[in-house]
Amino acid sequence: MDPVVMTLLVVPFAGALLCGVLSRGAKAAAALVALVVMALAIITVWQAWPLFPDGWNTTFGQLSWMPGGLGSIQLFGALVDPLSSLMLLLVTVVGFVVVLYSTGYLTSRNVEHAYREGDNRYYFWLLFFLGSMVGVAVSPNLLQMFLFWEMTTICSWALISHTHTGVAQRAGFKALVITHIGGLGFLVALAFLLVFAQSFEFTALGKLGGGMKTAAFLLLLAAAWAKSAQVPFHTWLPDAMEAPTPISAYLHAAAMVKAGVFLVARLIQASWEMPSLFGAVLLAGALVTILMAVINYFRQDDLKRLLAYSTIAHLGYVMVGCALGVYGSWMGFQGGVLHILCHGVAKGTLFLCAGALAYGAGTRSISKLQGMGRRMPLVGAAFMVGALAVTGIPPLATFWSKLYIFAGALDVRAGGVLLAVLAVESVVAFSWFIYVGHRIFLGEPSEEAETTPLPAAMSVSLVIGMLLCVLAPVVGVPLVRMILP
Amino acid sequence: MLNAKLIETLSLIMIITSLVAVETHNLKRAAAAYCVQALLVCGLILAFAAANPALYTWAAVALVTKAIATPWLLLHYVGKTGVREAKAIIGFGPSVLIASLLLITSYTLTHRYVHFLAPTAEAAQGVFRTNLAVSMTVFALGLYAILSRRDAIKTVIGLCLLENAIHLSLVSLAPHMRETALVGIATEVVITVALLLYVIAGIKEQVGTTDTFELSELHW
Amino acid sequence: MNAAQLVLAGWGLLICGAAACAVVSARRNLVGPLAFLFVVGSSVLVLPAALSVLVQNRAAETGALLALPGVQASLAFRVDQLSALFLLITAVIAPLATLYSIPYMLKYRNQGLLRYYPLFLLFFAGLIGVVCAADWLFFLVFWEFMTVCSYFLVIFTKEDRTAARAGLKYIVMTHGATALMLIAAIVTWKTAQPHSFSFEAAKATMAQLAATRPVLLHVLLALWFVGFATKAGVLPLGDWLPDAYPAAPSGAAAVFGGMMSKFGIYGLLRVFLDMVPACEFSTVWGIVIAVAGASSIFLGTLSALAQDDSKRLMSFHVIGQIGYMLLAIGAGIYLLPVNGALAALAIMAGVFHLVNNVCYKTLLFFTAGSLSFRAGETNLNRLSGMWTVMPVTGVAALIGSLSIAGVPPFNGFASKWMIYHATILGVPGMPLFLLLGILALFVSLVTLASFLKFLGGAFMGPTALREEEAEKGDVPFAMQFPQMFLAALCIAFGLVPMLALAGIHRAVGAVLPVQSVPSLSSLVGNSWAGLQLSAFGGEATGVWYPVVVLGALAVGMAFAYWVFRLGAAPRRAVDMWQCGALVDGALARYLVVEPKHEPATAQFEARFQAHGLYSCFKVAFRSVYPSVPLPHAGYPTRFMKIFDVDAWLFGPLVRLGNRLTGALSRTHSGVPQMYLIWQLVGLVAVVVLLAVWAN
Repeated sequence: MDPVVMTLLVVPFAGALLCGVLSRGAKAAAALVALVVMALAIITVWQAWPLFPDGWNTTFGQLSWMPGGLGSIQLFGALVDPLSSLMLLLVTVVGFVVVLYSTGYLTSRNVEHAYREGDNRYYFWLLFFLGSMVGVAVSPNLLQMFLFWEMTTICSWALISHTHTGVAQRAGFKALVITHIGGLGFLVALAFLLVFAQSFEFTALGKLGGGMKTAAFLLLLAAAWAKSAQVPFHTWLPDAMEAPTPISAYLHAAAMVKAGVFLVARLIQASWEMPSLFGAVLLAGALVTILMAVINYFRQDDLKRLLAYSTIAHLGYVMVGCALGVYGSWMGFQGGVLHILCHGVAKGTLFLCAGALAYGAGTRSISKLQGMGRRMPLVGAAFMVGALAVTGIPPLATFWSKLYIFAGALDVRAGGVLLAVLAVESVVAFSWFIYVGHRIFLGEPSEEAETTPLPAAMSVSLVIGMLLCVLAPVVGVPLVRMILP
Repeated sequence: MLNAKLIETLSLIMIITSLVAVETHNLKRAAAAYCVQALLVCGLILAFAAANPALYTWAAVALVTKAIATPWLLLHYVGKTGVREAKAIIGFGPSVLIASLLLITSYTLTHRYVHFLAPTAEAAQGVFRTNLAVSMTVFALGLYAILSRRDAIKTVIGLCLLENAIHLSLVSLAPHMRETALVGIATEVVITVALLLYVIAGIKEQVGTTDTFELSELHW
Repeated sequence: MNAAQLVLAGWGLLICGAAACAVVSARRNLVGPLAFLFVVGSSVLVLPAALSVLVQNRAAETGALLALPGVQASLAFRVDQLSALFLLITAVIAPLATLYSIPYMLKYRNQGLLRYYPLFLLFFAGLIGVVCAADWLFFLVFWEFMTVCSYFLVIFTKEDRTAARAGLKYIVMTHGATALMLIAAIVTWKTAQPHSFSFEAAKATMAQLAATRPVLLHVLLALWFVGFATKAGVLPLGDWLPDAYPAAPSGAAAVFGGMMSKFGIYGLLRVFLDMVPACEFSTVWGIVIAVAGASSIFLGTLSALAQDDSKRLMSFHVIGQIGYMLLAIGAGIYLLPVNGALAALAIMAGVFHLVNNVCYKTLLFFTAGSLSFRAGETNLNRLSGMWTVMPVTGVAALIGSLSIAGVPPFNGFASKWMIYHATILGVPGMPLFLLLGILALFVSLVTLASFLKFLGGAFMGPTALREEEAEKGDVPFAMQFPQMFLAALCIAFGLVPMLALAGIHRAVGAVLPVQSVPSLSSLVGNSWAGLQLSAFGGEATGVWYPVVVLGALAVGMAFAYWVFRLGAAPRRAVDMWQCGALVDGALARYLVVEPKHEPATAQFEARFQAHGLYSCFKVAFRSVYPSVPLPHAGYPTRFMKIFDVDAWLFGPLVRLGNRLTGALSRTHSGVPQMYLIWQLVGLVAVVVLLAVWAN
């Protein structure tokens, strides 16, 4: 299995370089590379499955100059356990769909923004990002995760400002600064761990003393919050919607923002003494985030900004699940982790629909789009499936994760209140999404409804997205059940 | 043995010529003043050569490089770039004041804290101590010239003064070593000065002035 | 192969059918018959299975098909007698509705059929799943699935804004209700030891909660009640119903109004009979359900009277009729701890009314759809004289209207009579049910009145159709057959009520939480010619022999006709006169002059105006059912400012940072001397530091 994982880590970067230098055919190369990466990831998970829940661990390097005993242990490697395979599958499958979609989206026929040049750099950064996320997913310790984490930060900056307009550049810069400040927190926490715990393992936080442990945890939490756009670091995500839509679908719904919650999940899964204060902080932050995000739904006219706020709220859900894990409700934790997968595919599909609308009609404004159902029935169907999947309608994706979270919520004190709050949020979000769907797709067609036809790559991606919305829990639930402390 | 009186006289004149070199607005005159100062430096080295015969060689080399080559280069390039110096920041009066201050400070330092400053016991006495003070003063003057003069060539002159001062201090800091001469010759900055002046000539061509305050195109 | 596996096969066939219809949906003439074939195939599998369960009086189940780890829930089909009854209903109505849709949907020229037939079949699959689920989780999964499919059918006409609004209201309210039910299910799951969603575990939990935490049990039951009542259409939770059902295409609307609302009743039966033990909870909730039912009867039927749109009128009657069922069932639940026999009777009455309602409500929706198909119109003010054009439909509509109004010998009468019997006789010490029963009796009149409005407005009078439309005659056979079939069922159940009651007795008996279920004969007698109700397990308290009565009526009418012919009074045509003045014969009897509705022509058009019938009621009762607009919420601006972190935190920080770095950057003047000074300063600082540190 060693070569498979090594190839899995190397191929995206090699592919990125290839796409960067190809003068023509960067699109086809990128799609091929993404397909290969997806296949490799599936093979890796398949082969590691019998070894779950302990997972499969391989190492390939050490830093002999590291002080305090760290020089002799293998610091770099790959860990394939249920949690990382969930992330791995999410990242590679959605990555492939997004790359496929991009080949159709970034052309000069795009009505919203005609992309005439920049293919090389786009696919370079996209595949580089894919590789970095794979790295984050299989990292066996905090150090390696940090390395890949920062790589994703830089890719995000590059991809958000891809169109090089003033607005896009500012948005990319804002994202870079905020996520990087979080990354600095991560670095300081790593320094703490190096000096006081002499270990970078996920369990290392347990070796620190009381105040130090809290400080390190808060720093890591700040990093996670910044990356996952939780309050108070959430302001970069709505502005990051200046990115081309496939990037929004990938980075800001399925992959990069999930890295933050993935970090928190990893910390909780590693068994170390976590005081319930941490859980309280997580829970409070998550609830404030959900509240803030839901309130902002109703003021958005830009479809992508609405989806961005929805992403923020759903990441809050994952944090709620993680907080429940700290309080001892392992089922709630599993629900939170499952939500990473389910929300990723559902929100990805929704973003791809938004992109299709922008491609065809040239606008993302909800008030301007009307009656699109007649011209773009596939997009309408995908939007409905995505909206139902993201708000928790059975048997689609997030119903199962929300079920586990709701079931877990009752394990904590005042769980009934928490359950009620989450249920209310769920229904409100559902209502708003259906309302928006109605506004966009039903009714008499407006002027913007004169659309250009969608290329096959985009239509196929939408269909795959819809299928994922249905099938994700089939893979996700068994995986998640194997995540044990 | 060393003629203390000669050394002290030469030193004083050297300080005055250094000041002149720094102050005068006419670059040709400044170069001339520097030439005089360089001759005085050679004289001082010769004076100290009584204690250390190796210094004779050095004096000879210094005569060529400091007193002949450098002034010639200066005059050559001053001819290219113009005689008039750009306005300095600090005027004549304050300069004299500052120079006197520096002198007094150096003397005080060498005479009070000599044990702190001097590396060998011998350097702490008599004429060597004076030499140390003088070289400190000239060093400070040179630095002062670099920092406060706007004209690029004036800064080169300041650099040369700096160099002279350091060489002079070498003499008193290592009075009996044979290698002193070697080190002195090796640290000669004629080539540096030539390059600097070449660059300054080029700058004058491109930018039209040797005023360093105008050379800020490369800043943030 | 046991019955449950057959049902599973039928369910699977529907799913395959949905996929198949999706594939061929571009061929409009092909997809309808294909869907019909699949539905018939599924019914062929489901019908015998359901019958066998009822006949054998034993539940059947499949094993767990899909187990959800951790939450102790599994997808398994379990067909008990109550489920079997509802499966029978589905198996009969589904093919009829699909058959009806075949020509009906061809009229929607602008809409693709991809969004109709596959979703229609999936909807039926959802219905089957709802009644066959073996635990609460999958019940809710199928419930929501069914709701979502029906929502898509409601918004079928994409361009219609009112349909979109109606669909939005529908899905939001029902989703909220489902969320409440999910909360109740999860709390029940949590309380069960070990945690489980299965029906048995829930039953045990509820019994335990009744003893230990009654408040919690009341909360849970309230959540379940709200959830099911929303689907059933109990006002005000059912506010969505009158808007949503008219928006759907008639084949689907018939299934919704005829079947889907009844599944809310199924849910209530499941929870309040199967899950809750007979104790004081039954008393309380029996009253709640009965009162809800009575309010539905009153509000629904009276609002129906004021409606001019035929489909909207039908939808309000769905609400009203649901009220009848709830009244009976509520009375039965109330009586459970007190008098098992009367309770059984009351519940059977409610379920019998449900079965009858399925027949005539679906029929009425079909006829309204047929009118719309032929005349392109659903407004009763504009329809007129369709009897001459579509006599068969007219007869079916007549039968349906008389059934719903409770006119003997049709089925509506039999079940309504049983309901009155149960509520009015009720418990002597509790006059509430007496009151409610009498209310129901009176509102029955209103039902009749509103259906006279329907019949009169749509079918009577001179025809308003143009010649070429009238030439086409009645609706196609595919639409006529379901109507006739259902009309025949109405007559059959009316004449031979025992047909339905036998099965209903089995179904109710399976879930009744009493020690021993009273036998059928002890409740309603054992004659196939009629009913002999005995509420107190002894003497017959009510008797109804429809065949006998019908025979007697027939004899009487024949005699009267013979007398009439014998009398042979001459006939002559005479001008109509009214209050001493001759009236133009072209004027219809019920005349209302509402100039704003009429075109400004000299020739006054004679029309049988439907709204003229009850204009006084309309004025008085329009306010009975006001429509509540959706609240428009805004946020106080200061509150929003807190969440705008950019404005008060990051923005000022960034500006401060910019100012600082701007100040610092001024040291980068580009002048070499400046840098030298900095070097000197640095050098001195380092030396000082070293000196200090060394010491």
